[in-house]
Amino acid sequence: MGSCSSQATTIPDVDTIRQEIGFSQASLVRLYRRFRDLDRNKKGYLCRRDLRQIGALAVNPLGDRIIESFFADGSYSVDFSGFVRVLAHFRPVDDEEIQDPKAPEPLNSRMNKLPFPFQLYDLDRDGKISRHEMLQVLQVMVGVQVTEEQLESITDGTVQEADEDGDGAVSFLEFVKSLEKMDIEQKMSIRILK
Amino acid sequence: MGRKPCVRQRRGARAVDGYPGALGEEGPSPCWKAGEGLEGDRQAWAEPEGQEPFSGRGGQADPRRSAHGRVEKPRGHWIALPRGDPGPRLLRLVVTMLGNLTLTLARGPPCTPTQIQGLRPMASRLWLFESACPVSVSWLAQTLLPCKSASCTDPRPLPENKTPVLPSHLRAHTAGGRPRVEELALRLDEPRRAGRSAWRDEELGRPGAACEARGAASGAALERRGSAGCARVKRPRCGDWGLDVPRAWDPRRGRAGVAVRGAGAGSRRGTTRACGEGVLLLALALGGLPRAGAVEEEPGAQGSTEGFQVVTFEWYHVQDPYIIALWILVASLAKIVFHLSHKVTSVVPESALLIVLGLALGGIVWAADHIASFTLTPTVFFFYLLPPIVLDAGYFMPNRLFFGNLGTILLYAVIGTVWNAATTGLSLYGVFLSGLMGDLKIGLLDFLLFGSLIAAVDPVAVLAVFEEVHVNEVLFIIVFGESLLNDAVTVVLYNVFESFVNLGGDKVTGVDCVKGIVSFFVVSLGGTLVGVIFAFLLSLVTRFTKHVRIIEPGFVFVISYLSYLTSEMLSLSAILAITFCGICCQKYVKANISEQSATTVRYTMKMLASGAETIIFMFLGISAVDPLIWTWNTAFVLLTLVFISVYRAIGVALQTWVLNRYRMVQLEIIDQVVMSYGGLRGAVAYALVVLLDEKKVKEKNLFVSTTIIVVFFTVIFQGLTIKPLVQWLKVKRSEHREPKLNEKLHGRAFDHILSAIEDISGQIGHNYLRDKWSNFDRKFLSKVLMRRSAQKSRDRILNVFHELNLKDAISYVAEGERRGSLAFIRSPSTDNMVNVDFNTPRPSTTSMEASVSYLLRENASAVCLDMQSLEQRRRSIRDTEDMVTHHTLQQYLYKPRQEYKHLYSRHELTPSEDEKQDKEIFHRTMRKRLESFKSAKLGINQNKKAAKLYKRERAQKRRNSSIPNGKLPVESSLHNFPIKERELEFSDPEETPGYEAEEMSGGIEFLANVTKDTAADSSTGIDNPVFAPDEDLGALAGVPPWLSPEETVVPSQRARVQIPCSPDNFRRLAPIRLSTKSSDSFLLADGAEEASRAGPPEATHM
Repeated sequence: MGSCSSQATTIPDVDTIRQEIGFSQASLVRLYRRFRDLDRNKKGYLCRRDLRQIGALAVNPLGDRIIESFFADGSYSVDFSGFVRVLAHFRPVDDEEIQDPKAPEPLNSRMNKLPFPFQLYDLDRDGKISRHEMLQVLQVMVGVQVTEEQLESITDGTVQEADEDGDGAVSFLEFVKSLEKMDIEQKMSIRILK
Repeated sequence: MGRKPCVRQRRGARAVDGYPGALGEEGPSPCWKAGEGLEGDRQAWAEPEGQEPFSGRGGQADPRRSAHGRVEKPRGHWIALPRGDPGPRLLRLVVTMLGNLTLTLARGPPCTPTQIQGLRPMASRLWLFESACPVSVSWLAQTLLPCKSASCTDPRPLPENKTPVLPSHLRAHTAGGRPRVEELALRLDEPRRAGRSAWRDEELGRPGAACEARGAASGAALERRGSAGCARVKRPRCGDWGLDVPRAWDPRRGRAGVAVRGAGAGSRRGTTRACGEGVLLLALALGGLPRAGAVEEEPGAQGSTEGFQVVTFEWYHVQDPYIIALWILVASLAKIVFHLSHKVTSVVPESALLIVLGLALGGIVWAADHIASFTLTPTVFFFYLLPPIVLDAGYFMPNRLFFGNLGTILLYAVIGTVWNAATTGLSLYGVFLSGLMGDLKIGLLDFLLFGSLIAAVDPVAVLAVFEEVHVNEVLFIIVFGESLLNDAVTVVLYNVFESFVNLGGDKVTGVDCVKGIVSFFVVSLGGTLVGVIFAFLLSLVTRFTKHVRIIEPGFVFVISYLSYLTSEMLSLSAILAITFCGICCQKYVKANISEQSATTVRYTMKMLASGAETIIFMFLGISAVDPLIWTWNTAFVLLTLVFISVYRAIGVALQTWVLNRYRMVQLEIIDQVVMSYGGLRGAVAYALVVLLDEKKVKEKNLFVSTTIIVVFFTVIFQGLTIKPLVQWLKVKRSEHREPKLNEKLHGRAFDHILSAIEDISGQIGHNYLRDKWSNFDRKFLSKVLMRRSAQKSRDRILNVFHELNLKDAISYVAEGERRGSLAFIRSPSTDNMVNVDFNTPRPSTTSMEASVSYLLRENASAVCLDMQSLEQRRRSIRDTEDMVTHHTLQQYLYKPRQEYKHLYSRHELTPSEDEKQDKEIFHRTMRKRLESFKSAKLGINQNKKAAKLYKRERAQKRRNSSIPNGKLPVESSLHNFPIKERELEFSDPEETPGYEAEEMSGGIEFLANVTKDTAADSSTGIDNPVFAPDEDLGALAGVPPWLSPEETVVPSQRARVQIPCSPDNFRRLAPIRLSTKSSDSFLLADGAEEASRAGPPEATHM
């Protein structure tokens, strides 16, 4: 435990991060270690290239978009707190936290988890997933065995299913609504990121 | 036991005069032989039940044990191993009686022996009586029948050389009454005899004689006889009634006699002293058991009758299968009856009802027979009843859920079971030491052995109960997974303690304990490995079954069963093997085999499993009706019940506490309550306890009775109360919901996101592993194990899309029908849009029924069921042209309705059908006129349309060729037929509205059925000719020319708006060439079907 805490102190802003984001000390230490591993040049922040080095991400159809989501608004680097902040979306929901209604909604709440996937779809950041954006996502995810035409029809189907106001695109609220039956808290959580 | 005294007396008397002779009595008469052989057989296997002292225990029956020296392998045991008395006597009596009566009546009263094989009028008459009141009459019969044997108390009926041999069944019956008495005496006394072991030794010696006999005789039949002889030999000892039959008799009997005689020759006593009566009785009583009896008897019977028999009545010939079939029938009928009242089944779990039914039936059999003729034997259970259930569980296992919770499941299965076994056993032992249980001959090891067999949660019982209680899937998978995986633990614990018990408590060393632990890993991992290997094999085999579609489903069953047997053979965990075989192969098998085969597999599996389950529970009930196994010890029984419940609860709480620190989805208190309460014990425990060796485990009967009580308590009481409990605790229920397209799509995205996040955060978690596995699977496994076409076309998003589309379309059509017309669907502006492929049988994800009905529809409408020929047909451009032509033709040629009758149904024609046809003809004619009128007026050019269609086809083709999808063409050709045939029909409902309402109402009604149909397989839905065509909406390539804006039936604006998906916003289903998957009841099961199945005919989109 001694090594843990000693390392924890080296993490910049560790206390604020913990309060704000809610990761446990151990997780933070682990993540910080990981952060430093990814940071090849010890520059104290990560850039896109660092993340692209992760082999498994290369084969992940959404890999690029996910990497992109770490870099808010086109910035070139992300520091540890930003890094952790993104990951915090995937922290499992604890029972205790729910009890406090006054506190600002934690990053891992349902409404905060969903924007993450939403902005993966919404490439142009206009707050809507257009048909075209949807199609692009489908294209990368579904793979080659499906013809273009099928993809388009699926896209249409998907958009129509979610689209309530008939504007031919899926807004965030519609997005949330279409997934209301889904256990997002569970689906979008990773156990080890406590 | 009230009847015991008199019986015993009788027996005692017999013993006095018979005993000395008993040893020598080996020269059994043929007649003995017959009955006895059977009995011998039976006994051999009945033994594990513990009743017969001399039974060779376990050796044969016990799949769980490795070889156990003694006793020949049973030659086939079926459902029930009657203990002592073989036959379902009652049944036998009735059937035989009926048969004989029929024969007698047919042939007229004077029925000479030769007329009907061996049937003598007297005997047949006696039978009647006997069936009414067996004992006294049979006794009478015996006295009436002349007996030759000198020493016989009763006159011997058959003079040696002159009288035709009495066929075994007859004999059996005439003597039926008495043997019962004797046998009862035997049974009652045997088990507890002190001198038993002495006998046993002698018996062991005996088989030598039998062998001799066997040597003398040759052939398989003889062998059986030999064993019969052997059994016989044993008999006298316990029963002491020496039976002898004049030697002279033997020759007649043919080989059987010889064989027996051979054995007899070796015997000490040459005199045939016996009372023929005894012999008869025995033979009969014993049931004249079936197979052996039949075989043996025949030669003799034939020898004695001359001439050709027009009709013979051969009960023995069919007895066993017959009885089995009858039992199955009874069980199935019972199920029907149960479900007549929805109220009952919604409250009482079926398993409990079956047990009660079993008790009732057992009571009846007992009342008629005074022997427990049928019991659930370990052999039958482990070899025939259990595998289908477990395979079913594995094959339909929701893999993602299962592996996602694997850690939890394993913990409960391994640690939990060990905990249960140890605590239960030790606590019982503790109480025993306190003296509360009185004086029992049990040691610590016995208690542990008992604990180990009673500890395991039973998959059959859990499944039966939990399927009716729809708890959420996580909870279900944990309890159910535990019950499956704990098998390895149970087997190991059971074997270990059993061998310890056999070894004797003091000789157990530390090394043995270590070996036990090692063997756990070997047994469990080995079993799993065997399962995986066979799954691989199975997947590989199904990859190449393209040309033998018919037997495709067979592979699934045979290979899985082989995995079970193999691991049994290697004394590994068979349940694990077959479970993992099912789990691992499901994906590939479902992708490889055809849609039809997949449905076949699914239904066969469900049928076998649910049949086996039915039989298991019923026979559990029946088995309990046997006073001989009941030994009551209040303290022991009650404490066992208490301990297993309490320790289960404690164990669950402890483990959950540990687990919750690692689980993302926490297990709440109420989950834990349900998990503890759901720890049902079942047939596995019963079968295991029956396997115990009475010699080693002195209180076996107590164990058996307790196990039965525990099983009944858990299944009936807990099964009954768990549903209210779940409701009361408001346990999260499982919800069956069709996945929405968005959910599917985003779900997929979430998977990718999660695995990416795990990558980034550098953690190895579920998602990471799953991702790795699916990559591996995609890159290697699927390549090897799936046919190429299947590899291409599996994407679940598409499936969901497909399904949703289908659903929408159906509701759309239904809606249209409700509004009185389908016309809007095909109004010219939209016809191109609507190309939902209704053709493909697409079971809805959740309901099995839907898939059946689809299948049926498909079959009913597809003219040819010959899958092979369908497969081999190749579509060509010419076909397309043909189709166009055909299509055109079809619209203008009148096709007699008659054809459709054959197409759709042979048995569903309602009387009004003819009327309808007339109307249709009328309408059709009218329509045609209208059409030609319109096309002339509007200039709709049919040919143009056709050309367009053709062009599209070509384009499609080109696209296809870039994506080699070999299957597709096949598919479309498959559908061409039905489509063409149906199309005409299809138009029926919609054209009518203008003319009259009746027709329409029919259509509406019918469509209502359709919609209902997705949920329930209603025959009208399937057979209704109007329906199938509706599925083909999209199949109408050409625009029906009669549809035009002027059509009066165009729905009102309002109708359009309200229709769920009006054509404009109907999802455009591009020609989907993907497989439609049959999805299973488990949502997650990846049901990939053949690509080919899915593809709608190319013609359909347009």
